[in-house]
Amino acid sequence: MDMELITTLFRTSIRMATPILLASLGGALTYHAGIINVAMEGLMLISAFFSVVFSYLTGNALYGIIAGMMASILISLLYSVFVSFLKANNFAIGFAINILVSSLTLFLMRIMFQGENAFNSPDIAPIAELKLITGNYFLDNYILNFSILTYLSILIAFVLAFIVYKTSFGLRLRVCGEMPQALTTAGVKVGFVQLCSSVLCGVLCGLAGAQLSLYNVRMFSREMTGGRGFVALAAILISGGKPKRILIISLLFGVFDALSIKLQSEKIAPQFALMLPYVMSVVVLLLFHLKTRKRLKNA
Amino acid sequence: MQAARTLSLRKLFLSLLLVVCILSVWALIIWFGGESPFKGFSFIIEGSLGNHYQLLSTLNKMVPLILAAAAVAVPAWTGMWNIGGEGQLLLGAFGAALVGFSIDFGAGIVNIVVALLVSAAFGMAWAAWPAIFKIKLRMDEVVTTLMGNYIAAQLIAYFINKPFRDPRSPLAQTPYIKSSYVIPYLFEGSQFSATFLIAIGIVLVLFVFRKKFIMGYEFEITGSNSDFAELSGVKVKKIKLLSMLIGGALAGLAGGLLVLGMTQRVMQSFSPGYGFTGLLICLLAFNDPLIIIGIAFLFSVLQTGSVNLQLFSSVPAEISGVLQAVMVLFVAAFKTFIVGRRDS
Repeated sequence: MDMELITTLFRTSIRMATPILLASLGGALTYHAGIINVAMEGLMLISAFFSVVFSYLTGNALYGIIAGMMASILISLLYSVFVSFLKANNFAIGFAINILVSSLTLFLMRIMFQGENAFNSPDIAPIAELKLITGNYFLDNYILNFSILTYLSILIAFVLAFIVYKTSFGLRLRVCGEMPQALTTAGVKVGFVQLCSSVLCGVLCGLAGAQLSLYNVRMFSREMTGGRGFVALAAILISGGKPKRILIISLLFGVFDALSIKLQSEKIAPQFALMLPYVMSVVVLLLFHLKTRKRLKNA
Repeated sequence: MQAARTLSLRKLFLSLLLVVCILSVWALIIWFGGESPFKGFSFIIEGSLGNHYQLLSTLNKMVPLILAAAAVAVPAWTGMWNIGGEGQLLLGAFGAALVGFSIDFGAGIVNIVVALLVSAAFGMAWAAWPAIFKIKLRMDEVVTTLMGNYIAAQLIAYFINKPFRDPRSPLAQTPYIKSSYVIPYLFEGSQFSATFLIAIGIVLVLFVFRKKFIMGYEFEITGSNSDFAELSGVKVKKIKLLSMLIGGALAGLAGGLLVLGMTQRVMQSFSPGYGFTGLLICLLAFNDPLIIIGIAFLFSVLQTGSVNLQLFSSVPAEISGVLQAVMVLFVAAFKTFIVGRRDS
């Protein structure tokens, strides 16, 4: 393998890992608060849509990101109200929301842009990169010049690791998931903690969606999240919601995405390349469960 | 329990309020799409129930919806989530097409039965691995069945592009099934066929199975309290596996019936998301087979009606998906107040 290829693969991996990382960090917060979040797919998709719309209308990616985040927070709040306050089943509502967002974005796209299955335009402003050319090949290609959201997401992973395990909010969050009665006894409302985690999840999934539609590609297409919300869910289940582990696992899933993109231009049938990320998420999940089962047996 | 059964005035009021809420939000969405709500509703009703051809077409569209919903419902009875209906349906369709264009058993009825059994088996196989992973390794079946959809979609795309592509067709699709496999249309000018009766028959069988058979009861208690079921001697793991296999078979059968009764081949974008619409229907029907028929009818009205709406106004047909999902959310919100929080 030549250097160029490795560099391209590495850069694509990071690019593809970023939305998965952001979404799974968001989902990890609700996971700690006791909600297995299956609405991440929808949160990312609605944000991807509104990011594109507002970036197109204003010509400024920042407004796009903010609009996407707002939409994602709104849907996340809706989800949280159903799950925490109306005590509806989180899977049922999650899927209802995913399907709602999937048809709503398509519906809005048809109304607003008369597009068929995708909307793209040169007027959509992309997310900026950390543009720095130092002349050093390694620095330029491996450390610098990624989307600013990539750096932000890595920072967020460490900040969340601190918040979840070292602060009183983090403690409440974890107690909320593990022993909600204790939280009630301490006079903290379980629903309120879950609501807070949902808002944060909305913010992070919003960033994830913006990265997808304003950086990874510069367009919105029908169901463009393509199951990434569930890849993120797999990452959460494997990591047990630990932010630093999520960082590593998302990178792994990013590599599979990058390989999938690379393989499409090779001799094998493109369908198998496209299948790869999904097969690998199942395989990784399977390996993880085989390992934990062994540990349980030995114990 | 007694209190829950008596029809209180409060419940009646809430149910009416629910209907009013759904209808007014629907009206709002139609208005947002660029049509006056009153006209919009009448386009939807006319387009789906206006004359007997449209009614037949609406009934015909129910077939995959009913079975895809049942494919979610049966596993849900035992507490399993089958989100993989879409993939199972695709594989079932492919199974039926594969038999249909390659083999001939001589008699039409034998052909059809074999093709349908193969489609059920294909769907079942695609539900089997997530079920086994769940039961043996406690791997989350929501993630695996969902990933299965994407994998199945690519697998079928490969099959119809390369090994099983119709050599005479410029498009990626399988050859047509032999004419002896086609389930005949019952009325001239309409695709309505016996597939509708088959789907209804299957749902009725499921209803009787659930209410009248000991195993149906075992499904129920496994779903409501698996520890209790285990203690009472129910083989919980076996029941859960079985429920997923039945679910997969039902979704596969939906695909098989679509091929034999309508499309006669498998092509690109074969399913416009039947699996997920089925999931919504099942959620609205609270897993009950008979209610599934009613909701599937309503959804079918919305879908065929929306196509008519698109023809006569600026509202895109995708509106049906929005209307359906909105309805699910409203019902879920009101359910807490109407039924109570017992089975949340």
